[in-house]
Amino acid sequence: MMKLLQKTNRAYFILSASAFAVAGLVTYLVLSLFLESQLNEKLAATKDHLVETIETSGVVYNDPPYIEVREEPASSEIKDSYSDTIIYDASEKESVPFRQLTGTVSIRDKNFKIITRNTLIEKSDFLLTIILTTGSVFLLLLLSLYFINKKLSRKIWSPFYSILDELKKFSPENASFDLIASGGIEEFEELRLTLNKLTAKVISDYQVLKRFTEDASHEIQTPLSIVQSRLESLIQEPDLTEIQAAQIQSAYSASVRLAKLTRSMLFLARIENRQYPESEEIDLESIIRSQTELFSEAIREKSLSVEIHSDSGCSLNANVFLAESLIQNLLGNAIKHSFGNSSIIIELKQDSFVILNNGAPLQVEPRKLFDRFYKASSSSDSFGLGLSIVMEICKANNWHITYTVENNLHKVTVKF
Amino acid sequence: MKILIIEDEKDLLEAMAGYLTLEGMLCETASTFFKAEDSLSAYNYDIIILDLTLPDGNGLDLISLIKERNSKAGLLIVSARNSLDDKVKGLDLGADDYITKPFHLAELNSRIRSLARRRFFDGKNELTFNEITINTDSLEVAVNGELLDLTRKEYDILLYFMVNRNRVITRESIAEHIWGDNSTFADNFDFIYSHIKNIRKKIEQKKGKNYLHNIYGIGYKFSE
Repeated sequence: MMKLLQKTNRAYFILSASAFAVAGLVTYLVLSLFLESQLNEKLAATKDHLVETIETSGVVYNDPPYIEVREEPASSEIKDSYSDTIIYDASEKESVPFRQLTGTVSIRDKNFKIITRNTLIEKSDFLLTIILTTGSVFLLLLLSLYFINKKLSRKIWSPFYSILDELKKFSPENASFDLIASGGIEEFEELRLTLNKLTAKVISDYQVLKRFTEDASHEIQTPLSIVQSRLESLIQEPDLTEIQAAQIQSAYSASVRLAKLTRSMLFLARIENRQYPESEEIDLESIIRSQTELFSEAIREKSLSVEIHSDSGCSLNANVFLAESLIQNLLGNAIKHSFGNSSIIIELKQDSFVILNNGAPLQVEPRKLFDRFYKASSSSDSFGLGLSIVMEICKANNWHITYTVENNLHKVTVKF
Repeated sequence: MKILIIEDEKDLLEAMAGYLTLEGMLCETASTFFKAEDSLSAYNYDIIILDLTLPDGNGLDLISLIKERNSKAGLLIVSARNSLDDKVKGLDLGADDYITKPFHLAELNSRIRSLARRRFFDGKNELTFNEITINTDSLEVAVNGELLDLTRKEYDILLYFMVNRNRVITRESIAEHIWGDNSTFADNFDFIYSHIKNIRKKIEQKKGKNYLHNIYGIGYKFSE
């Protein structure tokens, strides 16, 4: 993932680099053409001056390699022509490029071949100079732009980042949510207003949904009690045939199951809506012991033992009902999923509760188990709400729960 | 025993009254706040069953009237709201017990009986069925005068049967009575089966008869 500034910088870099390359090339071409024509003019002027000197005084001036004048037979006549050449300079011990003008002139019936020359800047030197110049200008420009951009963008984007920071604190459980910052920039103001609308909608939808679960479960209870009590009365009939009894039984079990489901959903909704505000000092160890007693048949059946390690004991302020439900669900799970003939270990400290049991490895990430209606196996006759209830109880009390599995050892930790 | 049932759902009212009448109770019914006020002003009851959600008033407001006019009556609150708030408020105002919809009729009956025992038979508290006697104060069961060694759960199950004798009690209802609503293993009926087997065995050891009958795989009936 790339930052916005990085992206614009990169595009800007590519674009300006190619622009500078083209500019450098054009500069080179134009400058070399201009220099060439300047040089040509100068060579022509020198030649004219030589011709004039010969005409007026008859003196033939030679200054190789810059000026070479030779008498030539009349037959060889060359038109003026410019060319580039390379001459070895003995003093500098290197070949030097020259521009030269070659041509023949007849003065006083004599035929002279005149070559005027001037040193040429080496093409590579020339090119290098241009590259260096444009390159440094380019770099300078880029650097200054980078710093300006950085500073400016921090300023320009600051309302965006503060909106983002505020937004990160959003939770649909908030009673209300209002973004403040927009920095007086139209785009951000629009963003702010849109987000405010959106979060308000999310909050109200969430509230409606929460109420809906509670209301719906509640409304189901009464008709369900009618079904259940009517079936219970029907069961009392002395002359039922076995087939009738089986049919009533199946309808009855279904109604009981539905009653349990609505009860769990209602319970979950009520914890979410924080309707268990009463709290008192509770002794977690005695709750664990009474819940263990409640599960005694299952514990015996699987030849399990429940070991409670409690050094200092644990007393905390919580709702008794919720604490019982937490222990009941976690202990019930541990018993249900552990292999037989083993121990369930409970470690109780002043600030934490840990329950360990062995069991088959999980097929999914442990956090998925806390999802509503998530079932580890589809054949399971549970609703998949137990751990969601545990999670909600922890949330309501600001407790932190973790679930880990290592070498078939399942470990649930609740930090108070 | 005279009972007033205040409940706005006619069907449920009928089912409750039907079950309790067969249990030998004298049931009167009221389906509105208004009717309930009338009945409470005119008559005395031993037990009052009150549904908190009434169409024309809050059931909680009736509690003060009940305490005023029928101070001796045992009060059992019924609510679909399953809310601890109501429960705490109701119990604070003087209700004796609280039951949430949907409930098993056998459970309702068991609660009423227990309430009646606590209210009207101070101290001396025995239920007898032929050779079996349960003392609900000392939590002891005797067969032919000999004490039975029962676990707490076995005792609870036997008492549940004794109170609901001659009725078919479903396994679901027993499970909820013993383990509560949300227990992970409440629907494991093997445990109920083994408890009942143990109760039978212990009663038979003391030369008692087997009164616990299986009924079509639905549940059990405690009868001759």
